[in-house]
Amino acid sequence: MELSVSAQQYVEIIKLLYRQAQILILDEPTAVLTPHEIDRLFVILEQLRDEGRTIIFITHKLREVKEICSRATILRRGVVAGCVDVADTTERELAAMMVGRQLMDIDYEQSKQVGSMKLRLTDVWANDDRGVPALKGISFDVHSGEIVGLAGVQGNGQSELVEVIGGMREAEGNVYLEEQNISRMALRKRRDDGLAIIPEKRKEQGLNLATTISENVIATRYYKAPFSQRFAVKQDKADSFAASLMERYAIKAEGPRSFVSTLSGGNQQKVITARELAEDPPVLIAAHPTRGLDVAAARFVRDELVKRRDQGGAVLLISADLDELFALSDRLLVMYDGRIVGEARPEETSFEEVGLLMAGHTHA
Amino acid sequence: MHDVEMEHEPGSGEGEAKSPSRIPEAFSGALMNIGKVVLTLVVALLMGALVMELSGKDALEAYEALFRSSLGSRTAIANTLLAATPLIFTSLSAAIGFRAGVFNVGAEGSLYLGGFAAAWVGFTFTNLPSLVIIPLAFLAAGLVGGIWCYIPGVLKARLAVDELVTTILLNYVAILFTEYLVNGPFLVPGVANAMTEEIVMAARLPRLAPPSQLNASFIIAVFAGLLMVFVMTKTRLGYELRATGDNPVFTRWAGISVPAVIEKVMFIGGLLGGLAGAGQVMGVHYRFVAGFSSGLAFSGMTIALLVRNSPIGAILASLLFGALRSGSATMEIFSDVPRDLITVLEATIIFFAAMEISFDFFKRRRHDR
Repeated sequence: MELSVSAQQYVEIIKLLYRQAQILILDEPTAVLTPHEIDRLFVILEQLRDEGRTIIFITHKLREVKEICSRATILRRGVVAGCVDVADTTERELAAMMVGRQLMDIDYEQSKQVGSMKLRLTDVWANDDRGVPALKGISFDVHSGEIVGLAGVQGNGQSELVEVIGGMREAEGNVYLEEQNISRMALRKRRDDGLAIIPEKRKEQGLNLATTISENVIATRYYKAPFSQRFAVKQDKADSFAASLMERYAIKAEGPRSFVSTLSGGNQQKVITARELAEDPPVLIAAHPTRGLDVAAARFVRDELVKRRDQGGAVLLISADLDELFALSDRLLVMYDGRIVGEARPEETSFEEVGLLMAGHTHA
Repeated sequence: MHDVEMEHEPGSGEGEAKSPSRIPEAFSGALMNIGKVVLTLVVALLMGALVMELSGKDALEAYEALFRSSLGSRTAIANTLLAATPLIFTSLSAAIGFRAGVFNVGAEGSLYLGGFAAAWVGFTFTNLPSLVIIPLAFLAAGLVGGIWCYIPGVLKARLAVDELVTTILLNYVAILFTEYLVNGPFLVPGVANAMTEEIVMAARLPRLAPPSQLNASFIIAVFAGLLMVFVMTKTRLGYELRATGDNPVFTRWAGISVPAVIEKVMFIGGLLGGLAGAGQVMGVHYRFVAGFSSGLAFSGMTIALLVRNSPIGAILASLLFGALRSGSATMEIFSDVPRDLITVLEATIIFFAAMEISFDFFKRRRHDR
């Protein structure tokens, strides 16, 4: 028989105690627990604290910081942004430290013309791989000529959301592409009908590292003319297509037959961006498209997203980087615990407010 | 992993000396693969020699006898090609599966069922001319073999049932089922061994170099290999199966139906196994004989591992294995080294090939879960 997730966690904790651990490190321990189970966990943790043990509690939920922690260290992009006594600090101050404001070297203009609805989700529910609900009634839409930014700490359902839009995860509720209900369609059909996805995991989902740039950029079109005739795939057409993309997107590599595994991270991301944007898709989902990129490469990718929007594309930008979201988005959604908990135009809100929502502080 | 891409980029001749990184990767990759194959073979031969020396035999003499009797005369060469024929089919069968990341071990079962189907056509439709009955028998064998592997293919693709387990088990089912058939419904009265009646003359494949039994199925096998090169490198299915083998997650995100690819690959693998059986039945035995294969499909897997799933490599390595097999009988007579030496060589090859494969293939399998 399998233990429930909370029981498994108790076992882990008991294991630590049995080994006389004096320092306990808990990484997002409440992510999979129900509110009631969380309360029980906190009772145990408080007991352990009172016995004189040290507990390091990693979380992105402000409520939990306030409830159980004595001191808090805030990490932002791998750097300590602050170290405070929780009792003397408001949630607002904590949120401000979490999201911080970096100076973005560029500011993009807002969309000039928002057009018709291109992508719509209505009351979408889905479980994650463990069977725990990850999306709890998501509804929103994205219009042509608009970048909608989806803010949120990672692990609040964003990955599952992209998979549902791509048709790779079972879900309840409906997904519409323009007027068409695509909820039951295979990804190939969705892509043929104008959906493009820059996936979150570049090296696993976005690229086939074992092969060439040519073969990577035709992955979503190898079966269509001019790349294919009957059963055959035209390698020469793939090569010339790849060469033109390499020029248009300034991909630095020997040639179309270079292996993508030999490219830098930035150039790899450009290969994905080039493939997904090559045919000016009406709807683009971009999941963390600039993560891990250097400034120049990140800027290049952002420019391409804005260009797509200005040409009438509907772009859903999923990012953990608030600077990026505020700079690019025409509209911001905040996701927390599988729900959309806030919506605003970036000029009408603030980092602090979005940060509070991201951390589950719903009554901001 | 980059099968037969040996094309040298044009115009990159002289600049290479200065900057080694300019050598096209596909080319250097292929060179390295060939190097690994040769190294594996050399090590296997050394290992065989070591075993022989340790048991007091003359290794040089044995190898000389081996190669003389497999390549020393026209008939010897023909017998080598004869022995290579089923191996070409089975190694291609294994190669296409492995290349797609599918561990299809079911070709042996397909080989038996396909062989029986071919024999059944051969002794049932006694009035058909050769031009009809031979293709019909191959078709029946390919279909039966293909469907046999398609079953575990569907189970893997749709229900994530491990194909390694199902295909191994289904092999027993197939082999024992054909044994039942020849001992039951198709029992021939007055024949001591478990075998069907003979197929009609029209269904027997023409011999290419009598007195050797080498027959037309060798040509079909080579043709299948060349077709496979085309399929793997130049077709949509080839693109899909290579992508699936390289990275199934990526393949899925690109919008390719990975289950459909797995099903197709399993079907083709079984089809090739069925053809191997048909070739043996119609070209060598002229009837279905229970237990006639003795692991041809497993030797095919060894070859596929050795050549890292390259179809051309599979043909070449099958010829080499064919030489070892056809030579071993004579070697046994002249050098008093038992033919089990061949098993030592094959085992050593598996050992080294598997060592490398386990690094990338199984890592990916686990990752796939």
